[in-house]
Amino acid sequence: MKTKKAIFFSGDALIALMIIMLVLIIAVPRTYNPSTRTSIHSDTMKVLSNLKVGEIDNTQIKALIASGDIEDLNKSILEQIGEFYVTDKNFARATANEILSYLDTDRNIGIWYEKELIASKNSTPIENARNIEVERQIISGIQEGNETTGYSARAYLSSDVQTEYFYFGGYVGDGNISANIEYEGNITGARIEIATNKNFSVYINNNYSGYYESSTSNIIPAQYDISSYLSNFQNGSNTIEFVGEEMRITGGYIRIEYTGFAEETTKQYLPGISGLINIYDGFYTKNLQTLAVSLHLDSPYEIFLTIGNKTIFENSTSGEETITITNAEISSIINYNEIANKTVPIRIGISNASYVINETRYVDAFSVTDLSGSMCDCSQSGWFSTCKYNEERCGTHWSCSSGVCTEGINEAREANDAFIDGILNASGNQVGLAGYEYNADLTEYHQLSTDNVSLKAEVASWLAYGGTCICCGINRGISGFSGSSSEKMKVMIVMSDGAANYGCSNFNDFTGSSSGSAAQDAIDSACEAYQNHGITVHAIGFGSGAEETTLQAIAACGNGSYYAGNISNIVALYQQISEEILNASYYEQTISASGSFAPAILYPDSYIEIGQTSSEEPPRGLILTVEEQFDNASAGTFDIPSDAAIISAEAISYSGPRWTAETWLNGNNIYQISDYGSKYIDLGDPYAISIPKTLIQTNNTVEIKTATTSMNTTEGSAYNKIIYKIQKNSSSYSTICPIIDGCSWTIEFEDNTNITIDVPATYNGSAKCYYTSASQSYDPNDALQEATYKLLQILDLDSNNKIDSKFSENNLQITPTEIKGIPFTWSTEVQIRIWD
Amino acid sequence: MTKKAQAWGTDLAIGFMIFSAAIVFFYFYSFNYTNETEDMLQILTYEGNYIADAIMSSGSPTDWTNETVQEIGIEDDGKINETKFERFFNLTQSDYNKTKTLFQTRYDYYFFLKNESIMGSEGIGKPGTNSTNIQASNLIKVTRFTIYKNKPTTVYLYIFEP
Repeated sequence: MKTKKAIFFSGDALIALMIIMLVLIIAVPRTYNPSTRTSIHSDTMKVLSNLKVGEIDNTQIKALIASGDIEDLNKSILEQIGEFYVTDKNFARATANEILSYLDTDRNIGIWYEKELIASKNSTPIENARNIEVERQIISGIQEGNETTGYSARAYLSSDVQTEYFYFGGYVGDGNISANIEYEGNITGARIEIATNKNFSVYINNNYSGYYESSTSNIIPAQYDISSYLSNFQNGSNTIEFVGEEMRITGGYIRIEYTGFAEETTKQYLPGISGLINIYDGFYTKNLQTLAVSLHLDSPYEIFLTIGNKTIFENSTSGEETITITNAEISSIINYNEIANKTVPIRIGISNASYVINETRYVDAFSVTDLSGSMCDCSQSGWFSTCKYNEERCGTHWSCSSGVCTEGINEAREANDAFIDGILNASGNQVGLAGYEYNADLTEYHQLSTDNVSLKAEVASWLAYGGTCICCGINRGISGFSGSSSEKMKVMIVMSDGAANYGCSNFNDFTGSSSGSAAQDAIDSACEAYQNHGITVHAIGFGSGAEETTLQAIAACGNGSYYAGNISNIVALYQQISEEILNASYYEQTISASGSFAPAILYPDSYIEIGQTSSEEPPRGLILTVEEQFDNASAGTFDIPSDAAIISAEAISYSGPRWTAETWLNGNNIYQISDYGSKYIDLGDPYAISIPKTLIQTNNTVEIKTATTSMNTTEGSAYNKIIYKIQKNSSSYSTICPIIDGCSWTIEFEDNTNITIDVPATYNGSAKCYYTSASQSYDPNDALQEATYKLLQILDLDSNNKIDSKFSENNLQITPTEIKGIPFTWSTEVQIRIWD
Repeated sequence: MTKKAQAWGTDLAIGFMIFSAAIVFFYFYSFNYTNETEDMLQILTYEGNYIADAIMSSGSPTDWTNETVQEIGIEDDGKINETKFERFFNLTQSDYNKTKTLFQTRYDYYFFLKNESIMGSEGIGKPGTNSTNIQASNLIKVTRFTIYKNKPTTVYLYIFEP
């Protein structure tokens, strides 16, 4: 029994023990083991990144600095360890461990560069880690087995070589001509391109600077290199004088190049003249706000200045005077809104030149007048007016009652009288008369004569009747010029109030015998007059019944103008035409003079000042001035490189004694002289027409037409040009290279010339580099060579291994700069790991 | 004999029941106690890291003063700014509870640097506290690494529930 009891108690204890054990087994896993998020590895990376080797208060690192093992004190500890990782791993480990020694943590931590453990502070190896957290960072310029520092270079073109132009007008004469041109700096080049009529000498600041032949034509310029006279130039204002007998310049420019800084000027200097002041010019009203003019004159004759079509000055001087025309005076005459941002013609000349000079060209003028029945208004009673349609005069036909013409023929007579007075007002001129109806009978004709009385008597005898044979009148007029001197200006005024209904069988037919096209016959006669007899034919449509189409064609083929008149203004119209004919004794833009006369002087310091609403900063960087000659007499093209910005552009026109009538850019009209009137003789003629930047595209076409009247527009000169300035990308950078040395470069230009330059200028090594069509060679490991090569590629616009010839050699100044210690592009990953 | 055997069996059954009840009580007591501790430590850990992050920032505004401070932070460019460090110290001296409000915590904290003192004190935090006399039922220690006076420095933050 005792044995059995013991068994029971032992069993109870055993069971109780098992239960306790079971409870403990269940309860123990429930004890808390808190998660311990830490930022210690991120903090360590930040410490390494933010602390510079030059800053750290650490004995060992200071010793490395003192020993020269650490050179760049601006490096972070992280970068310095990286450099040591490449150059000396013992230093890397020592430095990293030194940093970790400041860290008091119970976590395992280690620093890896790529896959290599550099330093650690740990109690268990990472191979046994259950959890690993990693902080990463990339450091550039470090890679095991490579250099830690390199070189970069920048090559660029200096733009301190400036180009300055003085543009002469479309016509500048007649006499000794001068120009004022200013610069601040050192002049490096000068040349002249002008179309001129006479051989001439050049004086720069009163110093003789050569004798030169005239150009071959007034629309074909010649170029003159005056670089050998650069010593005659001076800083500031310079006067270049062209001395030649009755010299005139029909377009051209002076171009100088200098080193210095260009400043934008608001003054446009006028060409100086000593002789007969006769200037046709223009100026660009960029951002126009105010205008002022200073005329330095010495002229006993009245001089006029016309801007656009407004005369703002007309006076003579008492000796040498400087006349200032203020903005207030000009703005009271000219509406600036009408001329803003345009090229505006300006005209400076001698008023009433025919009186000043001995004589202009004499004029022989024929008035060809319609005397058909329609010129008679038989309107005193209703049906009488039908008489004129029966080709009879009033009151004489059996079907008409008696009556007289009340309107039409009377005004025609008065107009012819005014015309006779006007033309004969200047001695040496002659007037002839040719009336016509269904023929041009001699009874209605008066030969060329200076006899005012006789001529007016003939006019008074004219009656209106019959049909309309315009060609008869023109043919009669042509025959009347048979005795006219070839030196004389020949002008014919053809007036008609209706449709031509009698034709001519030939140009000697005065009878209206042809049954063909009467209108075409009249046009043909006008063509004959101009083309074979040199007679300018103007046409006047009188009244609403005039056949304008025919009359306009007559004027066009006769190289004249068409005028529309009526009862109320026909007399004034004839007076106006007679004045224009006298004014036209200026032959085109040329003034003719003979005999002795006192010269008038316009000094070259005269100017127009254009106040602008806003000014632009002078462009910086490489400024290139490009001259592109036209492809033909009609048009030229120019292209803007993709990495260039346009600064300014002008189309220059060698129009000779004619006017630049129209200028177009890419189909957009940018200049139209007819905007200022149809009487071109009163208008200026710009040589340089500014091209609005906003219309310039990558590829551009410029067209220019010239004219003497609105009816005879023709092409211009094949020697026209587009002159434009661009601001071009002019710098290049090398990649990071292990060396920076330089080279002696041989460079070929588009014109096949070569230059050899040392880059940098101080280079005295033996390396040879080439940028020529035959060879392209350089060392890509040399930062200077690579930068220079890339720059030359930029300047090789057409990629033909030649530097484009448009770039003057003087513009090329290659100045590289070097920067040491540029990190290479390769990189290394740094990891800081913690684990447990 | 038979009765005796029954008596032992009943005693055993009763003893087992009493014992089991004690065990069950103990088990649930232990379980609940552990969960409460775990929750508290999680809270302290979260808030400790939050406060440490705040202290190791520039604060708000970045040029904060005692009057303008919205968030306390003592670092600029990854380094302890000694001026801000002093302001933090002064702020705890003058109004410790305000700093707790700014840290958005209701627990106490104590911040100090290894081998460095601030204004003659070992650290910054609950007045009267240092790293060796903290009386707390729950405490979390957060370790960080930064730069002080151009040296890498280990910093500690204790956050605790009294």
